[in-house]
Amino acid sequence: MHFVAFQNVIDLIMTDQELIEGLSGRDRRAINYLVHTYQKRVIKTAYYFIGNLEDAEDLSQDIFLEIIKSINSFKGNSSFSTWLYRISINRSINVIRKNKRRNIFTNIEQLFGYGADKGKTRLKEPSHNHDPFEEKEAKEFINAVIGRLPENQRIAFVLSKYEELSYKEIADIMSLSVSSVESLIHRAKINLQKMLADHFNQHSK
Amino acid sequence: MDCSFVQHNLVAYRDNNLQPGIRRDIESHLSGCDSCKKLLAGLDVVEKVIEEAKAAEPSPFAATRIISHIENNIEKKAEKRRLFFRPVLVTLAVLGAIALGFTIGKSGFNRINGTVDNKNRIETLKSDLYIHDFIEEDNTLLINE
Repeated sequence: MHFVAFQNVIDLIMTDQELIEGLSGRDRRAINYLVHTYQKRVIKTAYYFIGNLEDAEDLSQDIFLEIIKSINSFKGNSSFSTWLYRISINRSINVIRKNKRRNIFTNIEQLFGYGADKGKTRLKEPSHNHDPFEEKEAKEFINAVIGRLPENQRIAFVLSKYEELSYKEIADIMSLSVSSVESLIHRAKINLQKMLADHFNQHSK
Repeated sequence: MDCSFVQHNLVAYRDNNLQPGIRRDIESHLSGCDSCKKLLAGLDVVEKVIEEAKAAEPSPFAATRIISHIENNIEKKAEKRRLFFRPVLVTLAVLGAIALGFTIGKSGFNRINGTVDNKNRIETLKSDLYIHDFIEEDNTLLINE
Protein backbone atom coordinates (compact mmCIF):
# COMPACT_ATOMS: atom_id res chain seq x y z
CA MET A 1 0.00 0.00 0.00
CA HIS A 2 1.34 3.41 -0.88
CA PHE A 3 0.41 6.91 0.07
CA VAL A 4 -0.47 9.62 -2.40
CA ALA A 5 2.59 11.38 -3.79
CA PHE A 6 3.65 14.59 -2.09
CA GLN A 7 2.86 16.76 -5.12
CA ASN A 8 -0.75 15.56 -5.08
CA VAL A 9 -0.98 16.24 -1.39
CA ILE A 10 0.12 19.86 -1.57
CA ASP A 11 -2.34 20.42 -4.42
CA LEU A 12 -5.07 19.27 -2.08
CA ILE A 13 -6.67 21.72 0.31
CA MET A 14 -8.75 20.41 3.18
CA THR A 15 -10.77 22.32 5.72
CA ASP A 16 -10.20 21.48 9.39
CA GLN A 17 -13.56 19.69 9.41
CA GLU A 18 -12.70 17.56 6.35
CA LEU A 19 -9.31 16.78 7.84
CA ILE A 20 -10.79 15.72 11.18
CA GLU A 21 -13.40 13.51 9.51
CA GLY A 22 -10.74 12.00 7.26
CA LEU A 23 -8.41 11.27 10.17
CA SER A 24 -11.28 9.78 12.12
CA GLY A 25 -11.83 7.28 9.28
CA ARG A 26 -8.03 6.74 8.94
CA ASP A 27 -8.25 8.11 5.39
CA ARG A 28 -4.79 8.06 3.83
CA ARG A 29 -5.29 11.34 2.01
CA ALA A 30 -6.14 13.04 5.29
CA ILE A 31 -3.10 11.47 7.01
CA ASN A 32 -0.86 12.67 4.18
CA TYR A 33 -2.35 16.12 4.32
CA LEU A 34 -1.93 16.32 8.09
CA VAL A 35 1.73 15.28 8.00
CA HIS A 36 2.72 17.47 5.06
CA THR A 37 0.91 20.51 6.40
CA TYR A 38 2.00 20.35 10.04
CA GLN A 39 5.27 18.36 10.10
CA LYS A 40 7.50 21.43 10.22
CA ARG A 41 5.52 23.01 13.05
CA VAL A 42 5.40 19.82 15.11
CA ILE A 43 9.09 18.97 14.62
CA LYS A 44 10.23 22.53 15.37
CA THR A 45 8.06 22.80 18.50
CA ALA A 46 9.52 19.53 19.78
CA TYR A 47 13.02 20.75 18.85
CA TYR A 48 12.63 24.03 20.74
CA PHE A 49 11.76 22.09 23.87
CA ILE A 50 14.13 19.13 23.71
CA GLY A 51 17.01 20.89 21.94
CA ASN A 52 17.95 18.14 19.47
CA LEU A 53 16.59 18.04 15.92
CA GLU A 54 16.97 14.29 15.36
CA ASP A 55 15.24 13.49 18.64
CA ALA A 56 12.54 15.99 17.70
CA GLU A 57 11.98 14.23 14.36
CA ASP A 58 11.70 10.86 16.11
CA LEU A 59 9.32 12.32 18.66
CA SER A 60 7.19 13.90 15.92
CA GLN A 61 6.31 10.39 14.68
CA ASP A 62 4.70 9.61 18.02
CA ILE A 63 3.07 13.04 18.17
CA PHE A 64 1.37 12.51 14.80
CA LEU A 65 0.29 9.03 15.81
CA GLU A 66 -1.23 10.42 18.98
CA ILE A 67 -3.02 13.14 16.99
CA ILE A 68 -4.61 10.49 14.76
CA LYS A 69 -5.45 8.15 17.63
CA SER A 70 -7.06 10.88 19.73
CA ILE A 71 -8.76 12.74 16.88
CA ASN A 72 -12.18 11.72 18.19
CA SER A 73 -11.46 13.51 21.45
CA PHE A 74 -11.03 16.82 19.59
CA LYS A 75 -14.21 18.69 20.45
CA GLY A 76 -13.56 21.80 18.40
CA ASN A 77 -13.48 24.11 21.44
CA SER A 78 -10.20 25.49 20.12
CA SER A 79 -8.73 25.62 16.63
CA PHE A 80 -7.18 22.44 15.26
CA SER A 81 -3.69 23.99 15.24
CA THR A 82 -4.04 25.05 18.91
CA TRP A 83 -4.96 21.47 19.79
CA LEU A 84 -2.00 20.22 17.76
CA TYR A 85 0.35 22.59 19.62
CA ARG A 86 -0.99 21.29 22.94
CA ILE A 87 -0.27 17.67 22.04
CA SER A 88 3.20 18.56 20.70
CA ILE A 89 4.09 20.53 23.84
CA ASN A 90 2.74 17.86 26.20
CA ARG A 91 4.68 15.11 24.47
CA SER A 92 7.87 17.20 24.44
CA ILE A 93 7.52 18.07 28.12
CA ASN A 94 6.98 14.37 28.90
CA VAL A 95 10.24 13.54 27.14
CA ILE A 96 12.07 16.23 29.14
CA ARG A 97 10.58 14.87 32.39
CA LYS A 98 11.65 11.34 31.47
CA ASN A 99 15.17 12.55 30.65
CA LYS A 100 15.33 14.41 33.96
CA ARG A 101 14.24 11.29 35.84
CA ARG A 102 16.82 9.25 33.94
CA ASN A 103 19.48 11.86 34.81
CA ILE A 104 18.53 11.68 38.47
CA PHE A 105 19.01 7.89 38.43
CA THR A 106 22.28 8.25 36.55
CA ASN A 107 23.50 10.79 39.11
CA ILE A 108 22.54 8.42 41.94
CA GLU A 109 24.43 5.65 40.17
CA GLN A 110 27.47 7.92 39.86
CA LEU A 111 27.19 8.90 43.51
CA PHE A 112 27.45 5.25 44.49
CA GLY A 113 30.32 4.70 42.09
CA TYR A 114 28.79 2.69 39.27
CA GLY A 115 27.46 3.62 35.85
CA ALA A 116 30.02 6.45 35.67
CA ASP A 117 30.19 6.37 31.87
CA LYS A 118 26.48 6.84 31.49
CA GLY A 119 26.45 10.06 33.44
CA LYS A 120 26.74 12.50 30.58
CA THR A 121 23.85 14.92 30.71
CA ARG A 122 22.97 16.25 27.29
CA LEU A 123 22.82 19.88 28.33
CA LYS A 124 26.07 20.58 30.09
CA GLU A 125 27.48 23.87 31.23
CA PRO A 126 30.53 25.43 29.57
CA SER A 127 33.88 24.69 31.10
CA HIS A 128 34.88 27.09 33.86
CA ASN A 129 38.38 27.72 32.55
CA HIS A 130 37.43 29.73 29.48
CA ASP A 131 35.42 32.74 28.54
CA PRO A 132 31.85 31.43 29.00
CA PHE A 133 30.49 32.60 25.67
CA GLU A 134 33.39 32.05 23.36
CA GLU A 135 32.92 28.31 23.56
CA LYS A 136 31.06 25.93 21.32
CA GLU A 137 28.96 24.78 24.24
CA ALA A 138 27.32 28.18 24.56
CA LYS A 139 24.29 26.85 22.71
CA GLU A 140 24.03 23.85 25.02
CA PHE A 141 24.43 26.13 28.00
CA ILE A 142 21.62 28.42 26.82
CA ASN A 143 19.41 25.38 26.23
CA ALA A 144 20.25 24.17 29.73
CA VAL A 145 19.41 27.57 31.19
CA ILE A 146 16.06 27.64 29.35
CA GLY A 147 15.52 24.06 30.51
CA ARG A 148 15.93 25.16 34.11
CA LEU A 149 13.02 27.57 33.89
CA PRO A 150 9.81 26.46 35.61
CA GLU A 151 7.66 24.48 33.15
CA ASN A 152 4.96 27.11 32.52
CA GLN A 153 7.52 29.88 32.09
CA ARG A 154 9.48 27.74 29.67
CA ILE A 155 6.41 26.91 27.57
CA ALA A 156 5.32 30.55 27.41
CA PHE A 157 8.87 31.73 26.66
CA VAL A 158 9.43 29.16 23.88
CA LEU A 159 6.07 29.86 22.25
CA SER A 160 6.73 33.59 22.38
CA LYS A 161 10.42 33.80 21.46
CA TYR A 162 10.84 30.78 19.20
CA GLU A 163 7.39 30.28 17.70
CA GLU A 164 6.66 34.02 17.69
CA LEU A 165 3.05 33.42 18.72
CA SER A 166 0.95 36.26 20.07
CA TYR A 167 0.08 36.38 23.78
CA LYS A 168 -3.52 35.56 22.84
CA GLU A 169 -2.44 32.42 20.92
CA ILE A 170 -0.19 31.34 23.79
CA ALA A 171 -3.05 31.95 26.23
CA ASP A 172 -5.32 29.69 24.13
CA ILE A 173 -2.73 26.94 23.94
CA MET A 174 -1.94 27.07 27.65
CA SER A 175 -5.58 27.65 28.67
CA LEU A 176 -4.55 30.79 30.61
CA SER A 177 -5.48 34.45 30.52
CA VAL A 178 -3.43 36.85 28.40
CA SER A 179 -2.24 38.69 31.51
CA SER A 180 -0.99 35.41 33.04
CA VAL A 181 0.96 34.72 29.86
CA GLU A 182 2.48 38.22 29.95
CA SER A 183 3.51 37.66 33.54
CA LEU A 184 4.99 34.21 32.77
CA ILE A 185 7.07 35.57 29.90
CA HIS A 186 8.28 38.53 31.97
CA ARG A 187 9.29 36.23 34.84
CA ALA A 188 10.99 33.85 32.38
CA LYS A 189 13.10 36.70 31.00
CA ILE A 190 14.03 37.91 34.48
CA ASN A 191 14.96 34.37 35.54
CA LEU A 192 17.05 33.82 32.42
CA GLN A 193 18.85 37.09 32.97
CA LYS A 194 19.46 36.19 36.60
CA MET A 195 20.86 32.77 35.72
CA LEU A 196 23.11 34.32 33.11
CA ALA A 197 24.24 37.04 35.52
CA ASP A 198 25.06 34.43 38.18
CA HIS A 199 27.05 32.50 35.60
CA PHE A 200 28.95 35.60 34.49
CA ASN A 201 29.56 36.74 38.02
CA GLN A 202 31.03 33.30 38.84
CA HIS A 203 33.37 33.61 35.87
CA SER A 204 34.43 37.19 36.55
CA LYS A 205 35.56 36.31 40.13
CA MET B 1 24.53 53.26 39.18
CA ASP B 2 25.57 49.81 40.44
CA CYS B 3 25.96 46.51 38.53
CA SER B 4 22.93 44.84 40.12
CA PHE B 5 20.60 47.61 38.88
CA VAL B 6 22.08 47.41 35.38
CA GLN B 7 21.94 43.62 35.29
CA HIS B 8 18.34 43.65 36.46
CA ASN B 9 17.39 45.98 33.61
CA LEU B 10 19.48 44.57 30.79
CA VAL B 11 16.61 42.66 29.15
CA ALA B 12 14.48 45.81 29.17
CA TYR B 13 17.50 47.71 27.83
CA ARG B 14 17.87 45.23 24.95
CA ASP B 15 14.14 45.30 24.27
CA ASN B 16 14.23 49.12 24.24
CA ASN B 17 11.69 49.29 27.05
CA LEU B 18 13.42 51.85 29.29
CA GLN B 19 12.97 55.55 29.82
CA PRO B 20 15.61 57.56 27.89
CA GLY B 21 17.29 58.78 31.11
CA ILE B 22 17.76 55.28 32.56
CA ARG B 23 18.86 54.01 29.17
CA ARG B 24 21.59 56.67 28.98
CA ASP B 25 22.75 55.84 32.54
CA ILE B 26 22.98 52.13 31.66
CA GLU B 27 24.91 52.94 28.48
CA SER B 28 27.41 55.00 30.42
CA HIS B 29 27.76 52.20 33.03
CA LEU B 30 28.28 49.62 30.30
CA SER B 31 31.08 51.63 28.74
CA GLY B 32 33.14 51.24 31.91
CA CYS B 33 32.03 47.84 33.32
CA ASP B 34 33.41 44.66 31.78
CA SER B 35 31.21 42.20 33.70
CA CYS B 36 27.95 43.99 32.69
CA LYS B 37 29.25 44.25 29.13
CA LYS B 38 29.86 40.49 29.14
CA LEU B 39 26.35 39.85 30.42
CA LEU B 40 24.94 42.00 27.64
CA ALA B 41 27.03 39.99 25.16
CA GLY B 42 25.62 36.83 26.80
CA LEU B 43 22.09 38.04 26.15
CA ASP B 44 23.11 38.63 22.53
CA VAL B 45 24.27 35.01 22.39
CA VAL B 46 20.88 33.92 23.77
CA GLU B 47 19.21 35.79 20.90
CA LYS B 48 21.67 34.27 18.43
CA VAL B 49 21.01 30.76 19.74
CA ILE B 50 17.25 31.34 19.43
CA GLU B 51 17.65 32.65 15.88
CA GLU B 52 19.82 29.65 14.95
CA ALA B 53 17.24 27.27 16.39
CA LYS B 54 14.52 29.01 14.41
CA ALA B 55 16.53 28.61 11.22
CA ALA B 56 16.96 24.84 11.70
CA GLU B 57 15.11 22.82 9.06
CA PRO B 58 13.79 19.29 9.52
CA SER B 59 15.16 16.56 7.26
CA PRO B 60 13.48 16.42 3.83
CA PHE B 61 12.67 12.76 4.55
CA ALA B 62 10.95 13.50 7.84
CA ALA B 63 7.45 13.43 6.33
CA THR B 64 8.08 10.08 4.64
CA ARG B 65 9.36 8.62 7.89
CA ILE B 66 6.39 9.94 9.85
CA ILE B 67 3.90 8.57 7.31
CA SER B 68 5.55 5.17 7.20
CA HIS B 69 5.56 5.08 11.03
CA ILE B 70 1.82 5.83 11.04
CA GLU B 71 1.17 3.31 8.24
CA ASN B 72 3.12 0.57 10.06
CA ASN B 73 1.28 1.30 13.26
CA ILE B 74 -2.15 1.18 11.62
CA GLU B 75 -1.23 -2.07 9.83
CA LYS B 76 0.20 -3.56 13.01
CA LYS B 77 -3.02 -2.74 14.81
CA ALA B 78 -5.08 -4.38 12.07
CA GLU B 79 -2.78 -7.43 12.16
CA LYS B 80 -3.14 -7.59 15.95
CA ARG B 81 -6.91 -7.53 15.55
CA ARG B 82 -6.67 -10.28 12.94
CA LEU B 83 -4.40 -12.36 15.19
CA PHE B 84 -6.79 -11.85 18.09
CA PHE B 85 -9.85 -12.84 16.09
CA ARG B 86 -8.31 -15.75 14.15
CA PRO B 87 -8.41 -18.28 17.05
CA VAL B 88 -11.87 -17.04 17.95
CA LEU B 89 -13.06 -17.61 14.39
CA VAL B 90 -11.43 -21.06 14.21
CA THR B 91 -13.02 -22.06 17.53
CA LEU B 92 -16.39 -20.79 16.35
CA ALA B 93 -16.03 -22.72 13.06
CA VAL B 94 -15.16 -25.95 14.91
CA LEU B 95 -18.04 -25.48 17.34
CA GLY B 96 -20.35 -24.73 14.42
CA ALA B 97 -19.23 -27.89 12.62
CA ILE B 98 -19.78 -29.95 15.78
CA ALA B 99 -23.21 -28.42 16.27
CA LEU B 100 -24.12 -29.06 12.63
CA GLY B 101 -22.93 -32.68 12.83
CA PHE B 102 -24.84 -33.15 16.03
CA THR B 103 -28.02 -31.69 14.46
CA ILE B 104 -27.72 -33.84 11.34
CA GLY B 105 -26.98 -36.93 13.43
CA LYS B 106 -29.89 -36.26 15.71
CA SER B 107 -32.34 -35.79 12.85
CA GLY B 108 -31.12 -39.05 11.23
CA PHE B 109 -31.48 -40.91 14.51
CA ASN B 110 -34.97 -39.50 14.96
CA ARG B 111 -35.95 -40.64 11.50
CA ILE B 112 -34.79 -44.21 12.22
CA ASN B 113 -36.23 -44.10 15.68
CA GLY B 114 -39.42 -42.70 14.24
CA THR B 115 -39.83 -45.78 11.92
CA VAL B 116 -39.41 -48.16 14.83
CA ASP B 117 -41.96 -46.18 16.74
CA ASN B 118 -44.36 -46.42 13.83
CA LYS B 119 -43.95 -50.23 13.68
CA ASN B 120 -44.62 -50.39 17.42
CA ARG B 121 -47.56 -48.07 17.03
CA ILE B 122 -49.01 -50.27 14.23
CA GLU B 123 -48.48 -53.38 16.34
CA THR B 124 -50.14 -51.71 19.29
CA LEU B 125 -52.99 -50.56 17.07
CA LYS B 126 -53.35 -54.01 15.57
CA SER B 127 -53.39 -55.58 19.00
CA ASP B 128 -55.87 -52.99 20.26
CA LEU B 129 -58.20 -53.68 17.39
CA TYR B 130 -57.74 -57.51 17.54
CA ILE B 131 -56.73 -57.42 13.89
CA HIS B 132 -54.21 -60.15 14.39
CA ASP B 133 -56.74 -62.47 16.14
CA PHE B 134 -59.36 -61.68 13.59
CA ILE B 135 -57.09 -62.67 10.72
CA GLU B 136 -56.12 -65.80 12.57
CA GLU B 137 -59.79 -66.61 13.23
CA ASP B 138 -60.44 -65.94 9.57
CA ASN B 139 -57.70 -68.39 8.64
CA THR B 140 -59.16 -70.98 10.98
CA LEU B 141 -62.51 -70.56 9.36
CA LEU B 142 -61.01 -71.12 5.95
CA ILE B 143 -59.30 -74.29 7.09
CA ASN B 144 -62.44 -75.53 8.73
CA GLU B 145 -64.31 -74.98 5.53
